[in-house]
Amino acid sequence: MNQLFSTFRRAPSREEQTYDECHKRLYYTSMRILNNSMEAEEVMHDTLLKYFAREEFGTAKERDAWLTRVCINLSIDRLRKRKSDENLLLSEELKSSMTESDSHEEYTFHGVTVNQIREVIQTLAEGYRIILSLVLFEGYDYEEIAQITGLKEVSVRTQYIRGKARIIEELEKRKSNK
Amino acid sequence: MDNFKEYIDNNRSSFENQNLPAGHKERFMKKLRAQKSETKVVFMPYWAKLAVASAVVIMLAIPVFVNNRISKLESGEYYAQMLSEQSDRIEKMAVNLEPGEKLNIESTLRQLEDETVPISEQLPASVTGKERREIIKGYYTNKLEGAERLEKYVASLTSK
Repeated sequence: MNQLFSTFRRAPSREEQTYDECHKRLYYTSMRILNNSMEAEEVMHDTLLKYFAREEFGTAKERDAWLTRVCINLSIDRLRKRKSDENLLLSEELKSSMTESDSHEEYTFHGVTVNQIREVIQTLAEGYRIILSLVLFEGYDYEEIAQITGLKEVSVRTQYIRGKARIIEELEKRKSNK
Repeated sequence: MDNFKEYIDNNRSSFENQNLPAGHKERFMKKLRAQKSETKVVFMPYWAKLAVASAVVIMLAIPVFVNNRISKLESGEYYAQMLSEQSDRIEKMAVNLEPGEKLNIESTLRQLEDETVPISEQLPASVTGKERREIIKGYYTNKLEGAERLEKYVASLTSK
């Protein structure tokens, strides 16, 4: 009987198909920046609505690149609205163009769990979280991130190194507290 | 490769395994339906499309027509053409007149029509478009009035 019903079940629309293909990726991208599931869902929805309003992409790769970029921009816009200037991405500390070397380059993540890293990332200031998220999860390079955030390329690199250092320091602190 | 990036890449799926808020798809489909109804194109019958297209063509043609007419007025071409048509008419009327009279009329017509240097070329460049049109109109009005009197004269001769 179930088989009979499934034969007559309506085929998903093109929009539904695209939604099914893309929504998770967009949700996690936004979630990493906003740290708020409701807002991440709204950004995911807004991104896809924008896409359906002006659909003109040749390949799935082009579509995905566009969706990711819009999702990041919308998330950052939301963050800007939500937070006061001193906490924001473009705070003086984050604007610093001092170059720093990566003292944790050789750090191995043996014995560290995904949950621990996730927790520590969530405690970081928004600015660090955005840059780490864009480098580590979205695969953007410093130049692209500089374009997205309006920071200097050298500042992006510095903030990435500092953010990563804070994560490692926090992980080490947790290890020693055990 | 950066050790941290490598770690993330190797554990990517574990970072992205949290559940999304329940009902997210239904909420999206609702928003999508609302967006679609906002942007729905108003149905337009064929005749209305045709009327709009015709109006656009007319609107585009008007400036071309007006410009063409203005340039003809400014060069005197418009009046010269009127004069030429009137001359042809008079010449046809004068075909059966006496040879002496016919020659006299043809000579008058040549005087009216002939222009060694067209009036538009005699006007200095500093003259504005409006002034140019006024001067040319005055110049040709005299000629056209003369041609009209000549036509009446020829008509009176042929009716005898």
